[in-house]
Amino acid sequence: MPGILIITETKENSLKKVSLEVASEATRLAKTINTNVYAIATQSTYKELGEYGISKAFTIETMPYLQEYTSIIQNVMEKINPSHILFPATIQGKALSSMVAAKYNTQAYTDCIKMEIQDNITTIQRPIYAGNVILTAETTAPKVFASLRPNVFSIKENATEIECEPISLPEIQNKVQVLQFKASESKTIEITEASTIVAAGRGVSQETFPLLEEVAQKLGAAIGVSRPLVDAGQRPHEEQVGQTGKTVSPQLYIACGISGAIQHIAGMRTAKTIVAINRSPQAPIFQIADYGIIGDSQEILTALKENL
Amino acid sequence: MKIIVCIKRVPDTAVKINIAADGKTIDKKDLEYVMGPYDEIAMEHAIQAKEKETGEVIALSLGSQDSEKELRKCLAMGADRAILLQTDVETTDSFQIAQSISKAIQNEQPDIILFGIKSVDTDNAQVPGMVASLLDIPYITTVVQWEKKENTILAESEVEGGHLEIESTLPCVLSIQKSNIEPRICNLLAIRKAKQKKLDIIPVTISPETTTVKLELPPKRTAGKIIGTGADAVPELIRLLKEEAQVI
Repeated sequence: MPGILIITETKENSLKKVSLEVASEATRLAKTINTNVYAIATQSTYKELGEYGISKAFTIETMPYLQEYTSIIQNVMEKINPSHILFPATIQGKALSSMVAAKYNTQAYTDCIKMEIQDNITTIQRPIYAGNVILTAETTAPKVFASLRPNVFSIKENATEIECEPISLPEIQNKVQVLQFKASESKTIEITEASTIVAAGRGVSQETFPLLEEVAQKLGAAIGVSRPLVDAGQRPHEEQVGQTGKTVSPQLYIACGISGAIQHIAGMRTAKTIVAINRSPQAPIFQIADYGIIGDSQEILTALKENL
Repeated sequence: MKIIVCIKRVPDTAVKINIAADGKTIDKKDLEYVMGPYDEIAMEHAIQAKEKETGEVIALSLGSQDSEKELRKCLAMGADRAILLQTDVETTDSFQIAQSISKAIQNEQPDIILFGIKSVDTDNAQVPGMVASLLDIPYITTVVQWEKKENTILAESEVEGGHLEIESTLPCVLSIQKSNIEPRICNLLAIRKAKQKKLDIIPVTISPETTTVKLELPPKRTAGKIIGTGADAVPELIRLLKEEAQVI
């Protein structure tokens, strides 16, 4: 039986949480079709994958940029001929899925939220129209490429013996060079991976932002904003949640001073628990929130800071 | 410098999306269409690059005859000419789309190919990487700014947790992320001039979808409880988040 191959991603020398989610889901799928899961990982991080059911890792020293990484994945695929190739739906993962899939003359499915394999038919669910519609697709392609949306699949331990085969970087003409990485100034967690997000809209003044940051810090949360704050130049686009920003699925989303335009809701409606704080009881955000408090964001954030 | 900008006609993000009676397609009634918001930013990038250095900007789109409207908008923004790869087949198969676009790009031999980071209808973010892969040229994702050097390009790519500074040979494919670069608003004169510019229509063949597809609306969220008003409600909120929702 051909195996399942997962592509992992690391951050500061450890596996990203989404890599463990992909490993756990691949292991679950592999059991249903009675096959093994293989991974591509860095030399310093592969061992941890054994705890999530990965039986063999092909290891590299460092993760190269896209074009070079594509040929590494191709090399590994030639060795094990996998039927399913799963990526984290990160910027890198989505790009790699497209580049490798194209080499095999097939499409890749982005941001999958559900996957099943039965009788050579793979069924995939993924959100389209910014999460306003869920698409279910079935494919009998001999190779199925998919990226899995972060924070959707649960991490399950499944300890197994993991072996490793180091592979060398391909000797391709180096057309791309990463000159440097500049880390963001904000020290908060990356928003698409955060399990808690404190988000601000027009109802949060610039003066209130340090307070919001303190509350976020207490909760170990990332900061999100709605589009008007980005359009006004007050916050960077990296923080924008919604149709022309990030789509997030945290455990907890606290929306402060966000009225709830459909483009914003599209980006956060899959959060497990939504809290809305808004001065207007008529704000549409209350229609989708699990808990609501009517009132001024600054006053309520102050109370949150004191009570947390 | 020759730049191709790939754009797509998509439903306006402010319009509510409904599913048609067949359960497999979007209800087209009452839909309004626009150029993809990221594509529009990519077009602005190209025009600004052309304004700095001479060159040619070509707008390219794959879609129905109706996409001519969005291509005319590109011409009004400042593109020199446009190409419509015309098909009436609607597909979510990004590989088929990428294949047709790659062939058209090969005929043009551009230095730089720009896309928006994704189309806001299928949200697949696949075509730029596929085109680069099919043409065997470099791909740089989520670019917020870039500059052409003599024979290379220097690009800043926004990734999780920071920015990468990347240098690449030409030709290459960039996907453009939203930044502080805003698409220009076209005046009447520009719109009139755009009507005179060249727009080639090339029919392409896309095989209809082989996969069965079902569309559904996501599970509805219902309004929960309003805990109270003002700071007094906060202790109860914290209790509920801890004990009921168990998320903190």
